[in-house]
Amino acid sequence: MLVVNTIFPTVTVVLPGIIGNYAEQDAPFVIILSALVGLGIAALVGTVIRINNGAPFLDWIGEKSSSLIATVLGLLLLQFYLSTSSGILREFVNFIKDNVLLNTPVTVLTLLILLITIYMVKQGIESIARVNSIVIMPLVFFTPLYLIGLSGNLNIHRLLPLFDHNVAEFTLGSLTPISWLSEVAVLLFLAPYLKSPQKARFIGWLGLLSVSLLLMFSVITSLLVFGPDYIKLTTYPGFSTTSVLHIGKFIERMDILFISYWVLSIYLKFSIFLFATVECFKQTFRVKGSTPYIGALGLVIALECLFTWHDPAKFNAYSNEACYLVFILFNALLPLAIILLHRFRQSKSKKNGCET
Amino acid sequence: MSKQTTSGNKFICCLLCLFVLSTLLTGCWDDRELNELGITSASGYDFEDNQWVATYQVINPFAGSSSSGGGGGASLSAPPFLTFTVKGKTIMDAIEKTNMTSSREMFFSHSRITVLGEKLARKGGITQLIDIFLRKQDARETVYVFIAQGKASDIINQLMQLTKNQGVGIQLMIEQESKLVSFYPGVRLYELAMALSSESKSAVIPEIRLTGKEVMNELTETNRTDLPSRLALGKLGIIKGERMVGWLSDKEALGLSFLTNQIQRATLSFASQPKVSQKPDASLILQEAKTTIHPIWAKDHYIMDVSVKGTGVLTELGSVMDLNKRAAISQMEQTVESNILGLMENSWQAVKKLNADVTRFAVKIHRSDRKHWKQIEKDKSWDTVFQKIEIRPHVEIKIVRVGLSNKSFKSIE
Repeated sequence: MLVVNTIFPTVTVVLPGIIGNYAEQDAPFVIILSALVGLGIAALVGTVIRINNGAPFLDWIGEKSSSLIATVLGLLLLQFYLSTSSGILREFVNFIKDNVLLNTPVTVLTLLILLITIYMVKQGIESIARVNSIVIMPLVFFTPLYLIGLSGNLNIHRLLPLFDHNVAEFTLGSLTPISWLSEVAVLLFLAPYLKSPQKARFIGWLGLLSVSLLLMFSVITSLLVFGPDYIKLTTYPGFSTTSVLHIGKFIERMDILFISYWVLSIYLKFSIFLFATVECFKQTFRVKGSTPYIGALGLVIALECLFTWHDPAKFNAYSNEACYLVFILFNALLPLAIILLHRFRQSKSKKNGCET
Repeated sequence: MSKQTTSGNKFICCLLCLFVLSTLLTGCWDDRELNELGITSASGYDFEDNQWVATYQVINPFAGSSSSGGGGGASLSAPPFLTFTVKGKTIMDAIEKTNMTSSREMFFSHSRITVLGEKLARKGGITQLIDIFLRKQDARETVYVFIAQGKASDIINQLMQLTKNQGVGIQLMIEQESKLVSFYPGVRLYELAMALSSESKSAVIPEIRLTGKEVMNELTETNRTDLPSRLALGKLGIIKGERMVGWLSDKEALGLSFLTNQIQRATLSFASQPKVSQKPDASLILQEAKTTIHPIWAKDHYIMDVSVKGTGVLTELGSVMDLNKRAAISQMEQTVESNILGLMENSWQAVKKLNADVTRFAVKIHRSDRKHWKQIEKDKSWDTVFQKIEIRPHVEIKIVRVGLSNKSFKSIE
């Protein structure tokens, strides 16, 4: 369930718009394609965890190669996690600023969210995981409410015609979803806390399948309600559907309820990423306690969020067009390289063994 | 001693926390007091002297309830709403100018309707209005949209008799109309945006009009049984692209409702014995109707195979007929069917004349024949293709009940 909330909150907000722009009514097929690639990435990450048996990732890299390589890789990963966390924070702040707190300064919002998240991370991964389980539960209530409320607006014909786009559009549409789904790689830093690291692959698959289904649900309902053309006009299509849902004349305009729920889940996402950042920092610099560093790392994230991403156009361009390169590099290619090197070493040592 | 110090520290910590947390209760920078807000229930937009003229209808918190138990300090002589008319180069410019005339900040989240003046609609201000409704945080895309032939401000100023909140009253009117009569569909702003951004690039907006010349905007004027000027739904405005291109009459609008599968319920008058007299003397309430459209490519043009199926109840009969005989019922069914065919044909001719695809045929063609649609899109030839479309309607109506009498009263006479 941690994997679900690691990916789901930003995915529901950002992706329907991005996928819709490229694939329109064919968006469900793009999600299937992305989910398949995502499952492949989860398999890679799971295999790495199986190989190191849930050992701290960078410590294990240090053992298997050299401490210099582990430190360099750690620094690169730290930069990646700091940057990703600041992106999540910016998205959180942008959403709140766009929809709820229009006049509150961005700095205040950023610091407030950061303080709460630092407190969450300080409580440890177990508390985050327990709260996460509680936060997932209201979906049982929200999903039927959402569907019943929208039932009068759903038109299945809005999904037609199928396969109206070419391979290039499918590929372009699936790049960003694949990069977001690749966030399953956070498991590399959560592995030491897993009950059974050997099941990491299965955990990744289960999490990704759940996220893909939820994303599919969100995209299909948006398409059924608004059709492919209107989706392109809205920044948050998933939330636009909540503003039109109604049950009779007594329940309507439920957006604030769904926004509140989303805020709950993005807090968890941000806390999981801040936790992974802190773990990465600890392993890179080989420090024991994390308490003094959470605040400092949080501050770096806040500064990046405030100063690097203050221009929404720049942030959107990065999210839509550039981020997949970085995500794929660290979340997919890195585990793949590790597996290949491991296999290569294994076969080499086998060969050496045979020769002696 | 150390225990006492620890508990003392805890107490100070708790106090500090309470102090810090209490600052959050202010609602940060976004606090809003109800008595500082002007809750807008309707808005109207016109275009004059190259400027937007915006009229906002704000609920008057000091208006009393006519029923017992009205709020304290409320006055029965105060109007239920107040209007503010402002001018600006843009819509936002006009909105901001209300702050120069009102003591309350406009709050649009409870808006129910928005009315556009015909001049503005013909000039092409609809897209800008849609944009602001989709962009502005407190604007609601669920408001119902109307067009007024005269000034939108006159509509916003008019008082209603049965409903104090006029915005809500007009919303109820259009919802009731589309549910019971089906002449005009209630068009919400997001539905208008959906229609204009679809393949058809055309949409409809119902007209709201005053039945008389006067605007009833004083409470004393509404204290009579038969108002000389009331709010009523009129015709159906046709929008193509950014601009309004014309009107459809109520009959043509009903035909369009059949063509676009938007009949929820409708009352149809018809001649029960057309061979004897063409004068309508019977009525049928159409309780269910479903339209399915299949585009067929016929070498050089599209044929739209339109099939309407429905069931209804006979509610009025003015001729001598024995309703126990199936032949009599069948004869009436045929008359109703031909009436519906006529309605659809007239509507189609009117729509074709305006060259605006409010029938959503473009969407149907894209869904069923995507390859050909791509070619049409590439050639930008939809207007030409649309003009060549031929419709082939078939109607099948069943009278499933005849009410509480099997014979007409005229047969007893």
